[in-house]
Amino acid sequence: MTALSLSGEKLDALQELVNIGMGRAGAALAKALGAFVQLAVPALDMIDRQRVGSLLDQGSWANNHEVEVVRQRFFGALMGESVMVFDSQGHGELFDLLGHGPDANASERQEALLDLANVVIGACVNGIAEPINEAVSFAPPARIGGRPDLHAYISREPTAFSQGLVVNVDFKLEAHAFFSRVLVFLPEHSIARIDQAITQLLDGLAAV
Amino acid sequence: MRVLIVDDSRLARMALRKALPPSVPTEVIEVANGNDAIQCVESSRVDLMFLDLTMPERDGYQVLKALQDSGRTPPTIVVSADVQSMAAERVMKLGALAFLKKSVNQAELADVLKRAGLL
Repeated sequence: MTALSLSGEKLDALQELVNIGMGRAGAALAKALGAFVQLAVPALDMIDRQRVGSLLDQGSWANNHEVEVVRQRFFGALMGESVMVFDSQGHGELFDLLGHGPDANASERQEALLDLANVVIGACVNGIAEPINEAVSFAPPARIGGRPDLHAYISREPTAFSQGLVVNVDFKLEAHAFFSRVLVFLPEHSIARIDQAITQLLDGLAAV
Repeated sequence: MRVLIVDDSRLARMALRKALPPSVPTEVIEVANGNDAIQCVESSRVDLMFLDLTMPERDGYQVLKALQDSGRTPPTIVVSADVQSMAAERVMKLGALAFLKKSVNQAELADVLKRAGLL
């Protein structure tokens, strides 16, 4: 079972579950930063390892801006790995919003990004897991680094980024330069679990 | 009652349709984007509209703004996954009657409809 074999109806349903997770993540981000978060429709795509690196060469990310990438693994019937990518153009404003003054050192700034990624990724992944009645546990978030570090990490961690479903969620702060992207990688057996749960969900709704 | 459900997700439209109070006879029209929603409101009678916010092309905020500008906003309940408190405040200013978080259940929906005098 792969996402390629999910019907259009099931992909639509999964996109809606992701949408709910994204909404929660956006609210968590808005609360942490005290700003309005503009949400876009999440995108789902099948991807293999070779294409993961190119995800940051598309759309808003196809520029030479530095990025900062944080990863977090999750476990349970749904397991996988998520990365949150921060565009460094908005870092100054981000740290201001988080209450860090201009004197914050690198360690404090890194800790702030890890905390933020933890909240946002947690909300995103739980948003997918909870409606299908699955509990997920999380490893602590960890810093990967910049673009070259992400590429190197992907090369080193083939199992985390094997063929699977990638969920792409963009967050932008209104009236601020900050924007970020969350990618959730789900391997085949997680997709199989989602497929099963969505079938039940759709059957329940059809039985009106 | 003629009810318009606007959501790009078929799952969300199905869930909302199922949550409608069975005691009220309804004719339900479903559309998947904001442009079709505006066209539907402008070309036919709509007694109640359920509106999603995060949609491609024209989002729920833009739909509300366009209908507010034309003075044709039907009684509207926004049903969204965007659960920021500011999102709710904004849609109320744009003329929505109520804001409900996804996923909506039948009791919650009935309560909102009663408070809005629609049930």
